[in-house]
Amino acid sequence: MINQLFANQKIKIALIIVGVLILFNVVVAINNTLFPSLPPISSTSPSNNATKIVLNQPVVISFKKPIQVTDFLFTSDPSLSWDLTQTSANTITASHSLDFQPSSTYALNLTWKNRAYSPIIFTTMVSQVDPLFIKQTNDELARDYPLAQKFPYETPGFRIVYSAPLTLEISLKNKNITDEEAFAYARQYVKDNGLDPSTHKYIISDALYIPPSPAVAPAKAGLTSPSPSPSATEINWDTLQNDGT
Amino acid sequence: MAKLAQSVIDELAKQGYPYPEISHLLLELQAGRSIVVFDDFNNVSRTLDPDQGWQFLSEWATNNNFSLSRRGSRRSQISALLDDIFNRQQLESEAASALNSLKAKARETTPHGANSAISDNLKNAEALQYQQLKDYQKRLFDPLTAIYYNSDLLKDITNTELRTRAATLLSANPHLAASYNPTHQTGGRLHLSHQTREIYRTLSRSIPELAPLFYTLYSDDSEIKTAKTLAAAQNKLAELYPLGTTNKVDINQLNQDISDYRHLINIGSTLTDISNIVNALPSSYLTQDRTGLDASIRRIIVRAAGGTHVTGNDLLAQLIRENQLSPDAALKLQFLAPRLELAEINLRTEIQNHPSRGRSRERWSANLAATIGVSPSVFWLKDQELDSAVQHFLKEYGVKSLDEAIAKELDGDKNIEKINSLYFLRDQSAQRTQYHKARSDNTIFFLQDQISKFGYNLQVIKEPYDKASRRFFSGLDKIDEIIHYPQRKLIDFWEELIDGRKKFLGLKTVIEFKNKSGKIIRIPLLNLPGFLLTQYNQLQLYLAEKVFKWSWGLSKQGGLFAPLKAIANYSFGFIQHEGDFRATNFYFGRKAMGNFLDWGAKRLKFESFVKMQKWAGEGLLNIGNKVTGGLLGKATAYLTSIGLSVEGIGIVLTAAMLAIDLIKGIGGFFKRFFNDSDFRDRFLNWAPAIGIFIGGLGTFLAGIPAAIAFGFSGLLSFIAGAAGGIAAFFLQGLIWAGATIIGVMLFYQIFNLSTYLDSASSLAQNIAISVLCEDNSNTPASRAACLAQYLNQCYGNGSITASNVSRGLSCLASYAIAPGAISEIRDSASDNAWLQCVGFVKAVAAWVGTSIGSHNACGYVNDPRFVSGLGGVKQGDAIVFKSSGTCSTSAPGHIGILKEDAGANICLIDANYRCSGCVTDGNCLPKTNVAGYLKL
Repeated sequence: MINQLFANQKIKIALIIVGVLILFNVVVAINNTLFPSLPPISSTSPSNNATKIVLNQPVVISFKKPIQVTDFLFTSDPSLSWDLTQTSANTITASHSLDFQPSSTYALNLTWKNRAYSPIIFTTMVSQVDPLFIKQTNDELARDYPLAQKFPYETPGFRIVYSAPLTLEISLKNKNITDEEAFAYARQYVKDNGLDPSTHKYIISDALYIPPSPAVAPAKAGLTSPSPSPSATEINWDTLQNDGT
Repeated sequence: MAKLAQSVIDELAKQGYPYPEISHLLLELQAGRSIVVFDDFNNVSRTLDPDQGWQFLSEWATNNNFSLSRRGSRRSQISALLDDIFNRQQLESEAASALNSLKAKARETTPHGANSAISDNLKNAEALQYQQLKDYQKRLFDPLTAIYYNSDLLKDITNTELRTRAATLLSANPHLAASYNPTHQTGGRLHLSHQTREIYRTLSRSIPELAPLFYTLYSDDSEIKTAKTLAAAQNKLAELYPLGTTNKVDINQLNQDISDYRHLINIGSTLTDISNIVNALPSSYLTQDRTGLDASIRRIIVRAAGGTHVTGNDLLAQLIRENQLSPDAALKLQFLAPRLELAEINLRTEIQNHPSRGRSRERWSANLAATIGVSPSVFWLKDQELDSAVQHFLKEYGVKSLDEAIAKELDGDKNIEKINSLYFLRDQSAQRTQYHKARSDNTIFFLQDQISKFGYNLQVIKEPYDKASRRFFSGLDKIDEIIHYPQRKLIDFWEELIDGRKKFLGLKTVIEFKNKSGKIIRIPLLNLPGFLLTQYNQLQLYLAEKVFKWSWGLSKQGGLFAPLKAIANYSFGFIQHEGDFRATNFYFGRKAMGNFLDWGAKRLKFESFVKMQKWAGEGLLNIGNKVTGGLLGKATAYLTSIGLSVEGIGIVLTAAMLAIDLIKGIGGFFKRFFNDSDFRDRFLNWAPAIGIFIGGLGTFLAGIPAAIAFGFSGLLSFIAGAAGGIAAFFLQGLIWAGATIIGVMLFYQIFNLSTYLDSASSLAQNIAISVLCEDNSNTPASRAACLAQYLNQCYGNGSITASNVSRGLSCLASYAIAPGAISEIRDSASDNAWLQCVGFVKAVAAWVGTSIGSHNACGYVNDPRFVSGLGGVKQGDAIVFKSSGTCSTSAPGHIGILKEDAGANICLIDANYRCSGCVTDGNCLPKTNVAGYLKL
């Protein structure tokens, strides 16, 4: 019976075709399993070759089918730190905390399970802001001058400024308060602004000192040979014993 | 009536009006009448038709955070708004009482400065207040440092750092510099040479490096040099206007240049100097400058009053008074500071940002009480508080003076808080003494004080009654609202019926047809009387137009027809006032048209106006006779006699004549006041009594017509209206005359340096203006600070972007910022999505009258004005920062205006750093990445 079937030339050809098709599907299935295809992208924002992109614009990529954000890796040139989130079943959003530099061309590289898409290239808008400068400066402020925006701090008795990283210089204007009281004030002020006072060093200076009796004329000698520069006393509060003030 | 431009209405709606005035205007609108609004900005009265009136009032309401329902008819919205205004008045009153009672309680139990029993609320309120004052002083003394830095006093110190230190010292210790006036550098230097020496000596002790320099400076050579400079300046002045003569200035020498005029004003040290200059110059080009000056100051004041229940004029008067009373510059500032701070910031923001609807009354009251602290019109630390605090400390230390208490504390515990409190109290006490001395030396203010005290006592008695009455009427209003709800709805319905917006039983209520000339006539069947009245009014206007054309044409022929000019003018006034006889009479009376007055006089059986004048009295030039009885007697007789006249127009006209007569008298008074020093001195002594008498006279006269009117009834009742007109004229004339006299006197006191003010008055004026950010010193630092403040005000402290930049431009323009600066702001934001750091710096440069090229921020290192590093930098210079990479459009760096040096850091006024397109005053950054600076 089977031999009769195979003897029929037409049936034979048909069976071969069916066999080839089955084989093809099997091969495709194996290929898809071993080498899955990239989820097709439906749109990107910014689009490829876009220009005048706003500096803080996030990157949004939409796919034609549902995806898992964990399958993706996102980098850029110039390099930025990216944060990927899945905003819908088919969409991922890449955010960057540091703005793009202006008038710059960026190449965004997206990989899915280690397989790369073609890069998305765009150019940012013209602007006179320098995000990297701002970041570097803010990093320096946070590290060396965490209370920079709180100084100069000035009272009728003294003025405090940063004279060096984590070092506050207290310039006394009169002798109504002692050095220790001034230190205590400065420490309290640092504490009031949410920092541990021991993170800073404190220096006293009498650069702004005004003597209390203006009627007394200065000595001639003092005029011809000026006094030395205001004295400065440096105290490291970490080593100070009496911490009660 | 010509329609006002939208911008005028917007401008009006930003100004301050007392609540009663707004309520009155609303009631007028509700009655369908036009309203008259005083425009503080432009110092004119404006008439608004009901539509524009409602537009103005609804804008005013929105600006002041009154929420309009936008539902129902205009009438019902007005009712709701009236209720809201009433409620807010009540809230303000309650807030003030809440705070006052809190303070009173604190005074009874524990004095200021003591430790425990003061309630937390009071502490919070005072802490807030103190913080505001502190912030304010910082804002105040920073510009002061800049002034000293640039002053002649310190100009010889070439080392920037030393000069900055010296300027800071002076601004932080105003008593040191109190004798020095940096605005009159040249004149002040010689005149105050010994004080200058003292300043130098003190500075030398604090900054020893300066001692050799100062020693050289106050040697005799330097004195001679300074004297020569002064002499040169005085020669220039004498050349331009010879003092003590009546000769006019040789205008050609001024080259028609307004800057010369300004220069002269600057070196003229007294009002006499300045008025001589002003009088000598041609009015054509003075007007522009004087108007500009007035307008800029006026705008600030009016804007400060905007949204409060104080008019611009009232606020201005208070500011000037408080400012001029204090004897030295530092004290003036302290008087001015809390006044401005509280009035401008708290009242405008706190009250307006907390709409009465939807918030609990208690919470609103507490907010207001906590932030305002005290009524803005009184000294912020009251006498009793000060005294009790001082007494408390004296008792605690067992001493007789605060100085002794300070010494004792310094010898003993050295408690810094107590020492600070003692210093503060000592300064306050000293200032208080000076303040009271200044007041007690001044007759008129002494009198005013007495009157205020009387008023206060009266208020204390009335307060419980008022409170109960407010509650009663508030309750009544609610009931009224419910009862009249159907009525209001019916009225709304009725209005729509009349307008033809609704049909009545399916029938049209308005007939429309075209007349022969093609004009559409709409006859509202349900309001025929109103329609006929309008038609009648239009007919009158039509006839008035004919009369005007006829009389004007004939009057131009002169001769016998000349008197017709008065009729033409009257007709024109009638047309201008939309057929309102009363308004026309008022207007015409004020114009003092001689022929027409004669005509009016003849109607009253007099040969001429002059004869009638004689009958009425000798005019205000003989004011002495009149106030002692002559005028009173004659006026009374006259007012009684007019009851027999039925010529209403003549009655009003004659009343106007009296007012004009008074005004004429004032003209003579002016001349004599300024020319005759004996008269002036006598007047100043008598002015309070005269002012009070005139006020009383006005009130008395106002009462007479009312009494006469009571005597009429029936058909003659219209005379009551005419008599009311007389009252208005008398009141206006008399009050105007009284106010003018008082005004002249105050003006004299304020500006006459030799009589009341010390030489630092112009400094105080300058600083007061600086505080208000209309700084005459055209320095980049002050301009930058002002620009930052204005930008933040106009854009609500937010980003200035391409999409919102146009919205704030008119606001910026209202601050008299240079147009070039506004253009820079606009271009920078429009071209770059938001305002850039470079745009801000360019705007500051444009405002100070210079310009810098267009680069990336870091690209300014190639500018010819660029100086590498920070050597020689001063406030107002533009600090250029390095790029984050290679200087290019991709990494442009940063630029900002130097506000102050802060050791290792540098504080800027800049844009586009803290957030995109926003402006920051006081952005402190490390000096590490500074490339250098541009001198602006």
